[in-house]
Amino acid sequence: MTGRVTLDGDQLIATRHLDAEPALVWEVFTSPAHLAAFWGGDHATVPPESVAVDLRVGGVFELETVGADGSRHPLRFRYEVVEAPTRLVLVEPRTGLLTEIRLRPTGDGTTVVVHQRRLPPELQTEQARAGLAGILDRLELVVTENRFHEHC
Amino acid sequence: MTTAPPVEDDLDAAFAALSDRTRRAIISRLARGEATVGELAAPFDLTHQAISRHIGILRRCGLVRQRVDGQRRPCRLDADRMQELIGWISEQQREWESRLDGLERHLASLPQESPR
Repeated sequence: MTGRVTLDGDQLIATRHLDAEPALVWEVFTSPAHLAAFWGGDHATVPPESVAVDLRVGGVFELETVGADGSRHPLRFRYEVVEAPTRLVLVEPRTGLLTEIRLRPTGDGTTVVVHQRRLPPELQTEQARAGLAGILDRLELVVTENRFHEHC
Repeated sequence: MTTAPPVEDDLDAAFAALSDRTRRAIISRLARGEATVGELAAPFDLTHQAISRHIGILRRCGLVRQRVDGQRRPCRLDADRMQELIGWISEQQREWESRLDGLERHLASLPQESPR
């Protein structure tokens, strides 16, 4: 459980407590039928036949989302880390976007924590030090201030 | 199948540009208003050339604009561009919140003992 590389300094995207044990949440995150049922959230649907899961490091996870307006978006990820039932790291090769999904047993359920990093691999070491979250906090401040100074 | 909209690549370049400490400091300084390369170089132990190189990178990814004003070439931030970066993160957050709502509903709909 320890000694793993963590993605400290990445952007925290979401965290949620779920009323289900990690093994079940893991299964739901890694089985095509389950993924089709929830991946689109409120904003899209996922045709079950579009979901393919090759659950191993280097394996591909792909699916298609269909938006409210009928627009279809194929998504393709590669598994970078597969550690059942606690940690899943996906990279989207097209954009280099890295998503880490961590599952932690808490009480009767599971806490899901999602982090993302969007930088070329050669910058990841420096990035880990600097912290994307910090940059973005600063950016937010910059933009807020900028609204008063600029007119573009 | 589909190709990425150009804005995706642009955003990647912008995020990459911001991984540098000096460039972040330049951004912070420009948040207070326009500045010339000389003014930007002052707080750093760097040559004008080095600062110009950083400005070039920030300009190419659209974060900074530079105009000609006689002998001066003041730089300023592109607020819209900055907003895009922040907007991208918020969008990811909204998408994941919505996905986790879906996950919660899906889990609640499953039979108690059998996960399938």
